[in-house]
Amino acid sequence: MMEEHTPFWHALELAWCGDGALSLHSVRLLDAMQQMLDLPDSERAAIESRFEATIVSDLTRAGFGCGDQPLAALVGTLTFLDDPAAAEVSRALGKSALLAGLSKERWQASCAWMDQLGLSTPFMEGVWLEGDEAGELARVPAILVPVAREIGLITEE
Amino acid sequence: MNKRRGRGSVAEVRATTPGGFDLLAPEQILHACMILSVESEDGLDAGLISSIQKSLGCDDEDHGAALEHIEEHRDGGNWGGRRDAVLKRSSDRANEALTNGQLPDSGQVADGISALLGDDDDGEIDPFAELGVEAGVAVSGGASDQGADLLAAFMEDDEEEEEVVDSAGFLTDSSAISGDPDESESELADDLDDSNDTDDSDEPEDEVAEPEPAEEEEEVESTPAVSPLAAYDMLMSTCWVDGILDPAEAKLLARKRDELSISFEDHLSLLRKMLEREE
Repeated sequence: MMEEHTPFWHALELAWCGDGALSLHSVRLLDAMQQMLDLPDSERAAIESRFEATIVSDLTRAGFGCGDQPLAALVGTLTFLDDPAAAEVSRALGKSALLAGLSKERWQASCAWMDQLGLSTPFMEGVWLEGDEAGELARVPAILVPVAREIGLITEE
Repeated sequence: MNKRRGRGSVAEVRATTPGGFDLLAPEQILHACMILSVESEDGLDAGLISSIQKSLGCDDEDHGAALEHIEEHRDGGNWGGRRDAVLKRSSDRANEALTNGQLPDSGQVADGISALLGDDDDGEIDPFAELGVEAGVAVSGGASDQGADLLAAFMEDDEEEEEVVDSAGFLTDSSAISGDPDESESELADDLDDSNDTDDSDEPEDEVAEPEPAEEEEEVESTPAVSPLAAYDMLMSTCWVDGILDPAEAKLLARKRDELSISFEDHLSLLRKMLEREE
């Protein structure tokens, strides 16, 4: 299952795992994120129900839902999707992943992340050196940091 | 149960105090306590029951009649499939007797009854059980079709209890055998009335009381349905009442979704509506 490698799963981790509680503010942020990602209810349902079954069930409440702060920051990074350079950056990320060495697991995980952002096509083009030659990855946008870490491009915090 | 004899059916047993409060008949309380004791982990506590009997002023005949009825209907603790209703009614009666002073609120008797009441309380409240919503009957998107059944479950709890356990706290014949609500007369009342009641003037009172179930049915029909989705919505709103959802609440909601066949997508839809209401 690749749900745990998606931005929405990451958002759920931020919302829940800080103190084992989910605030209404976090729920609103998750809704906003779903809209920004054009995520169908069925897909969100599959991710969130699995998250509840595997992660939330093992949590213990220790606060009042402080996860809304980092979640708000994550949702803020989704403005990258409106950046005209998003596809080019994704292509460059794919090329960098290939040069760094891409295992099957890393490939699947990174594709799951990029797919939910709607950027899987340029990312895969970059990996397989298709289409226009990808440029160099000058910077990693915040929303792509988790996937860059997953494929080994970022090794430090 | 001599005090009841000659007064008509057990539905009219409750005594009225000068202040206007209805009190349970002592033999009703004794019977309720005996049921609780019999169904406790340690079984019937003869010493405690004897103390309760003395506190209530019941005689040995009352004790014997109650014991006989229990033995006849206990069904190995199953009570004809109505164990929960029998125990709940018995607990309610014991609590009421403690509250209104018919039983002492301190001392050996009070401690013993408290222990019996504690045995019957597992400490977990299922809000859906309280609502009467049955598990596994709802289908997402087709909740309205299930509404009537759920409404029946919601509305008939108390009536059902009335039918299976008479006002004396005794299991009725109909509940143990046929389940026919039209036959809800108490067997104990019949036994007692048939064998001891020489006052024929009670019979008209019983006849006058018969139309009541029909009136209750009309009340049920006029009450709006509670669908599984609506019930789930109520539970979800309750979980969110403090603005925080914790893992235990999430687990409870997940379990109820499963039991009521409510999809996660329906859950999301209800959640959004709740958020709109909050704004």
